[in-house]
Amino acid sequence: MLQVRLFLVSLFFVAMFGGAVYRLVDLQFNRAAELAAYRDRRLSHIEQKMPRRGRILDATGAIIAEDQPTQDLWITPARTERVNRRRTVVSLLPPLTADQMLAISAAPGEARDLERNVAIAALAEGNRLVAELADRLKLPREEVAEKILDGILSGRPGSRDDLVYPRPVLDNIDFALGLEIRAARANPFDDELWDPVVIRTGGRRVYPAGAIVGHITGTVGKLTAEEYDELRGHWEDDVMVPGKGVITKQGRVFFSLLSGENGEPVSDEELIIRLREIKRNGRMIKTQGYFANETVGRGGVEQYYNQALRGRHRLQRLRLTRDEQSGRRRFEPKGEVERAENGPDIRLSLKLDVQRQAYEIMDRHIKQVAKRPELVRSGWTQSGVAILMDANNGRIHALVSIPSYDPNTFNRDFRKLADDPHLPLVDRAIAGIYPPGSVVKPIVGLAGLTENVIVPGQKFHCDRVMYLGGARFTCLGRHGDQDLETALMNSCNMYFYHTGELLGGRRLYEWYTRMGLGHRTGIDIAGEKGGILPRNAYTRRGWATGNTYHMSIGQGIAVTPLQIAVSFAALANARGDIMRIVRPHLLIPPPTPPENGVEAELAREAMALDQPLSEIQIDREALAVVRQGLWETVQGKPETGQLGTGQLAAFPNSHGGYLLEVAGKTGTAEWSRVVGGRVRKQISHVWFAGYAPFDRPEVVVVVFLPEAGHGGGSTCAPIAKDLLRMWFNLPDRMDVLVEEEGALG
Amino acid sequence: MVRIDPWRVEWLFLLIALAIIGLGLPFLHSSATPGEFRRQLAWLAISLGAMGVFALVDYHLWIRHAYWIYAAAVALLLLVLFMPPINNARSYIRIGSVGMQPSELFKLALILALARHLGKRENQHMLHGLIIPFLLTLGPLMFILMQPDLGTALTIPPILFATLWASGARFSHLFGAIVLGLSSVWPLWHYGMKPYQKARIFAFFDPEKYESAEAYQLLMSLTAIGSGGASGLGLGNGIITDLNLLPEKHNDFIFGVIAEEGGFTASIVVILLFLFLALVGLQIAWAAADRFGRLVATGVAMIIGWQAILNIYVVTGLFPTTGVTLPLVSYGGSSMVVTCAMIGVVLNVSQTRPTLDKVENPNKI
Repeated sequence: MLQVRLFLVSLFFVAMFGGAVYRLVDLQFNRAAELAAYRDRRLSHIEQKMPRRGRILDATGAIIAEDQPTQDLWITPARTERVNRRRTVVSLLPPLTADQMLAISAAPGEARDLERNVAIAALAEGNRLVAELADRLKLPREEVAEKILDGILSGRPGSRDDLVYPRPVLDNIDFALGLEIRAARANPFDDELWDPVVIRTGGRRVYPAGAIVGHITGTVGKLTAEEYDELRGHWEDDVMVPGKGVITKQGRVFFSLLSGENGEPVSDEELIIRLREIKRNGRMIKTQGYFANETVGRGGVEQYYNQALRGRHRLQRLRLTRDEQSGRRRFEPKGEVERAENGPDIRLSLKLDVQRQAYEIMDRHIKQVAKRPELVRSGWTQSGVAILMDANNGRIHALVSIPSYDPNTFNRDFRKLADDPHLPLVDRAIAGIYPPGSVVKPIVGLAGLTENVIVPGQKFHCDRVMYLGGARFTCLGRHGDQDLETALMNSCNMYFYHTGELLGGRRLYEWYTRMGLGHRTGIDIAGEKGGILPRNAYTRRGWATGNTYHMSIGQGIAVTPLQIAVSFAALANARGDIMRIVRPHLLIPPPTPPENGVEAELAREAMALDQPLSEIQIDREALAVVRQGLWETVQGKPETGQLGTGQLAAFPNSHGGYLLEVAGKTGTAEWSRVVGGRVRKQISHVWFAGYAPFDRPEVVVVVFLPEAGHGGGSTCAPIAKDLLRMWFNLPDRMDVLVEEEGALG
Repeated sequence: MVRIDPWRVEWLFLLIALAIIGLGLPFLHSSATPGEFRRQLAWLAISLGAMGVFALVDYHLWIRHAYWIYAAAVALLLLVLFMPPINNARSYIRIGSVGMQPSELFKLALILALARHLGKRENQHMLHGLIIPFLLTLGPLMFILMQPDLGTALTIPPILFATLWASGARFSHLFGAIVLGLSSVWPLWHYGMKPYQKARIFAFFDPEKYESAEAYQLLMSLTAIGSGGASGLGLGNGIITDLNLLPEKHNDFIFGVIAEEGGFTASIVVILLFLFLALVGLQIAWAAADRFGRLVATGVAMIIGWQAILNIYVVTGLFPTTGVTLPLVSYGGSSMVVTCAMIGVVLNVSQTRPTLDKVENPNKI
C-alpha cells in the first residue's frame, strides 16, 4: 500500500518533468530555426537612408535652389512584430493604440476630424513623449500632438504597414536637443521615452533669388496621403517581371505576387526600393518609387525634374550589437553598408543676373503702365510676361511672369497667394492663354507665300473697312495699296483678311499648328498649358469666311506667350529652306558631362533638348520677304521715312544707322467678356515679339502685358527694347528716342 | 527510539543537490552583474553552512518546536504586510542591506508543522482529520496572497497534499479538495486578482496580442530557449541574455539563460537532476525511521520538485507567468538558504535509522 503511494507520487514527478522535456524538444529542435529567425528580425531594423535633394544651378553655376541641412524629428507610430508568420502592430505612442491609429486614418470626412481631435487630446494629455517634446521645444502640447498625428496620418489610409515606418513630424528642431536624442537613441534600451523618435538630417530648400525665379523653380512640399496612395509603386511603362509579377502602367504592382527571400511578404516600402532596381534586358527599369510624406517638387523645374533631383533612397538593415569593450549596445549595419544616392545638381540655361535684370525691367514698366487712368479704373492685375530665348536651340535665358511668388515662403503664404486677385500663382508665360492678335501675321504671310496663294510684291487695297455678308471687318487705318512688307510694318488687317481667305481655314490651322501654336511647347517646367485652336477651322463644320478673317489676324485663337516665342524662333533660325521648331527648355548639360550615372543621363537629356522638335520646308525668298517686313516694323522704311508699329524697339544711332537691327511684330488683341448678360469689350492684350540681331539671329524676345491696352507698339516695344539693350549690353543714351503716339497695332 | 548515524548519509541526494548548484553557477555568472554574483556566492556559503547544521541536528528537535517555528513564520508574514512595498508587493523584510522573504521561511515552517500534526495522529483517512491541516496551510496562504505573491502561494498547497498523501489520506478526499480549490478560482479571479495578474493570464493565452507589454517576457524567454537549439550558443554567448532583452534573467527566468547558452543539453541535465532529486527525496521519505521523518522528507521533496516544475513551465510558456524561482539556481538569498536548510533536514532524516528494539513496524501507517 505504501509502496503504491510512493510510486504514484514518483509517477507524478516523472510525468510533470516529462512534459517539460517534451516542450523543450519542441522549442529547441522543431522551432529552433523559426525562433532564431524571429530573434534576428527582432534585433534588426530597417532604416531609410534619405538622399539629399539635388541643387539647381544657373548657367554660370550660381545657386538657384539648394538644401540647407536641418535636424528633423521623425516618429515611428508603431512597431511590427512577427511571430508564427502572423504580424502584430504595436503602438509606440500610448495611450493611442495601433488600432485607433488605423481607425483614424481610414475614417471618412467628418468622422476623421472628430476622431483626430479626440486623438490629439489623448496624446496631449497622456503621452510622455509629447509632454517632453512640448517642454523642450517650447510649443503647446496640442501643437506637438497635432504634428505627430499628422505624421501618422500621412501614410496610406488604413495601412498597417505604413504605421511602422518613421514619418517626419517636426522640421528643423533645436540642434542640442537633436544631439541629445541621437545619443539616447544609440542606447536603445536605456530610456524607452525616445524609442519612437528618429533624428534625421534633412534639408530646408532655400532659393536665394526668391520671387525672381519663383515661377521657374516652383517650390517643394510634402507628398500628401492621397497623392502617395495614387503614386506609390507606379511604373513608367508596362512591364512583365519574369517569375515575379506583373506590373501595369496604370499603376499598381501586384504586391502579393512578390515575396522576400524566405517567402515572407515584404512591405510596400521595401518593395518600392527593390523594384526600382530591377533590370530587364540589361536596361534599368525605373519606378517613380515615392515614399509617404517625402519632399517633392511643387510646380516648375522642381516638379518637372523631381524624379532626378530627389535622388535614390536606400534601405539599410541594422542589427543590434554590443560593443565588447564598452559594453554599450548599438545598431550596426548588417550586411552591406548602403548609402543613399544624392540627387544630382541640375544646371539651367538661365542666367540669374539676366533674369534679375529682366524681372526689374518688367517690374518697372508694369508699375508705370499701371498708372494709366483707365487701368487704375479697371483694377488691372499688373501682370506681364517677358521671355528671352535662344533662337537656335530653345534655351531660355530669362522667363519672367509678374506677379510672382517667393518659393521660400510659398507654403507659409499659400492661403494669401491663392486668394490674391492678381493670381500670382499662375505662370502666365507658360500657363496663361491669350489671343495673340497681330503677332501671328508673319505666319499668315509666310504661309501665303509658301503655299503660293500670294506672290512677293502682290498688293491688296486697304480701305479701312470691308464688308462680308453684312458683317463689318475693320483695319486700324486707311492704308491704301499694301504689299506684305508694308502690311506687316503697318499691321494692316486687310492684307491678312485677304491672304487668310485665300489660304482657307484648314491651311491656316495647319500652319499655326506647324509653327507651334495651340499646343504645348514641351518646356521643362511643370504646369504648361496648350492653348486653343478652333478645330472647326480644319473640319470647316460651322465655319464661315468671317471666322477665317478673325483667325488670320490672331483673333479667336488662344496661345501662351511661350508659343509665340517658339514661332518667332522658327522665323529667326531658318537656314536655307529649313525652319526649325525648337523646344524651349531650361536644362543644359554641365560644363564637363560625366561618363555614366544619373548625371550622364541628365546630360544626354539636356543635349536632346537642344535638338529641334520638327523642321519645316519653306521657300527662302518667301521668308526673306517676311523677315524684311519684320525689320521694317521696327526700323521703318528709311528711304521713305515711314515708321513701323514697333518703332519704339529700334536702336537708331546718331549717324543714321542702327546699333542693333531688330526684327519684330507688335500685337494688340481685342477680347470680350460677358458681363451681366451682355458682351463687353475689354481692354486689349498687348504684345511684342521679335528677334535680334536681324542678320544673325541670336535671341528671341517676347513681351506681353495682358489687359494693358494702348497697343503693343507703345506699351510693349519699349520694354522689349530695354530687354534687348540689357541682353546685348548696349549703352543707354546713344540712340535718339522717337516719341510719337499714333495708331500702333 | 531512533539512532543518528552521521556516516549513513544519503550521499546521492547531497550529490544531486550540489550538482544543481554547481551547474547553475556559471549561468548565474553570465546573467547576473558581478556584484550580484559575489553576493550570491556569499549567500551560497551561508546556505551550505545551514545545510550542514540541519544535517547534523536531529530533526526531532525541529518537530518538537514545530508550532513555535510556525507561529514565528506566520508572525513574520503578518509583519511583512506593513513593510514598504517593493515592485508593488510587500514580500521583503529589509534589515540594512539584507532582505529576507518570510514566505520562504514559511515553507519550511509549514512542512514541520504539518509533520508534527500529522505524525501524531492517524485519522487522515477521515474527513475531519483534514480540517486542521487545511487550516494550517490555507490561513497563512491568505497573507501571502495579500502581499501579493501569487507565485509563492502556488507553491504552498502541494506541500499539504503531499504530506497528507504520505500520511494516508484518501485519494477521493484529496481529489475532491483539489476540485474544490480549482472551482474557487472564479471568485478569486473576480475579487482577488490584480489587473496585472489578469493581464499575465490573458497574455499566456494569446501571447502575440499582448506581446509588447505583458507577454514580452515570455516571448523573449521562448525566443531565448528556441534559439539556443540543441547545443546552445555557449556560455556567455547568449544573444538575448547578453543584450539584456530577457527581464529577470538571473532570477525567475534563469532557466531561459541555461536553455539559450547551454542548449537542450544543459537544460535536459537540469531537468533530470531535479527529477532525481525529487525521486531520491521520496525514497528517503519512505525509508525514514518514523512518520515525522517521512512527512518532512516528502514535504521537502515536493516543494523543491514542484517549484522546479512550476518555474520551468512558466519559462517555457506552459503556465502563465508567476514569480517562482528555480530552487538552488536562481539569484536570491532567502530561497537559497531555506532550500539548503530543507535539504539538510532531509539528509538528517536519511541518517536516522530505526533501532532494533523498536517494536513499531515502520511500514504500518
